[in-house]
Amino acid sequence: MFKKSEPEDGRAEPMIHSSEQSMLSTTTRSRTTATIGPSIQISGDVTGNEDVRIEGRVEGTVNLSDNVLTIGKEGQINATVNARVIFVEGKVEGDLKGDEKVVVQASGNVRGNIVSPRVTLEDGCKFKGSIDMDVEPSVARASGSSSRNEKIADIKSAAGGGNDHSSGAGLGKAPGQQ
Amino acid sequence: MALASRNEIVEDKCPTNLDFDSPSVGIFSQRFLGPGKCRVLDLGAPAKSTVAFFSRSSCTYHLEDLYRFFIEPRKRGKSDDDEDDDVAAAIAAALSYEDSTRFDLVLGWDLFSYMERATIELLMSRIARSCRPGTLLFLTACTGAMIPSEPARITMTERERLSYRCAIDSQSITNPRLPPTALESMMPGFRLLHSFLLGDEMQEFLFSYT
Repeated sequence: MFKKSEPEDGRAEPMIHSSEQSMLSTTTRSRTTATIGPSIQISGDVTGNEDVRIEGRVEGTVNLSDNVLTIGKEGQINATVNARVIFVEGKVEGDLKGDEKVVVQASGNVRGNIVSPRVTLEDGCKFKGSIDMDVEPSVARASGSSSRNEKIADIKSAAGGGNDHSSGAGLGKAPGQQ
Repeated sequence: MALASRNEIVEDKCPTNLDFDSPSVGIFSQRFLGPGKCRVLDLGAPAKSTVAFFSRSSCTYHLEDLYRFFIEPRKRGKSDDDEDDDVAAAIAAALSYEDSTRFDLVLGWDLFSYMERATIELLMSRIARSCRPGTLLFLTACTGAMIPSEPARITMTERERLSYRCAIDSQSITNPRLPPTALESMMPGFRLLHSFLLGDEMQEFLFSYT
């Protein structure tokens, strides 16, 4: 019943030791990050299939739809940006589209619009623009999960555990009043 | 025209760090943050927990950080004799939206305590163009004699609560104490829906656009 399946030709399968497996998976999973240094200026389109950290200046478009883009503290972007995940530590003028999430760190300065299902603006950052969070993560779409229903459930929970405020419950006692 | 000529600095106490229940947050959460898309205009500064709060819904969130990008630079760089149309032009430039944009909720926090009446009128006249009947305007105010010299960082936290934080070294200025009737007169089309006295010298107002 629990007999391991063997190759039909009777030969043993190549054996991979656990350490090798570990190495293999590490190699497969490892992500290289290309860095655009502080002295580099790019005018045009930046595209690729690896994570990128920008410490220089970029004008144009940045498209890393399957990867992580970090705009470092020295980075200055005047571009339309699309990436799976975007971290902003530097300065951005332009629209950001993060398929998974966009995080503007405390040192970040963004003037533009963000479209992403998850957006974090750390306290202290500078931001002027709009955030459209009415998009579902590509992962959620692929797995068929209903993030919208989950969001609604979260809202109800955050809005007071399902209490009904529409009938004036919101006029309840003020803090300090017992 | 001065944007905040009332800011004579005096030695006195004003609220510092408070956490309090906010009935207004409960009301607009119930109204807007359900199924369907809503559009929020936040005139305040970026705040992680507030963005997280709205990220639970399908909303478009516009953040203007009016104090940093409009009020404070003008306080620093402009004299008292600026013309009204300069302010109007600056407001129009700062708040430029497509004609079809309509907000469901406007978060004004305590910013009106740091603006002159004429500036509030121009600001709300501009914002009203992007409102629809039923749009809610949320304002907070201190009821005490003094307020911090800069707007406090007021953020939404979980379950109808607000966090109020002001800079540790913040000095105090005289509180203009704008009553709801005065606010209504500066904001044609907006009518007071609820006024909540919260204790700890805090008050909040919910206006509705008619």
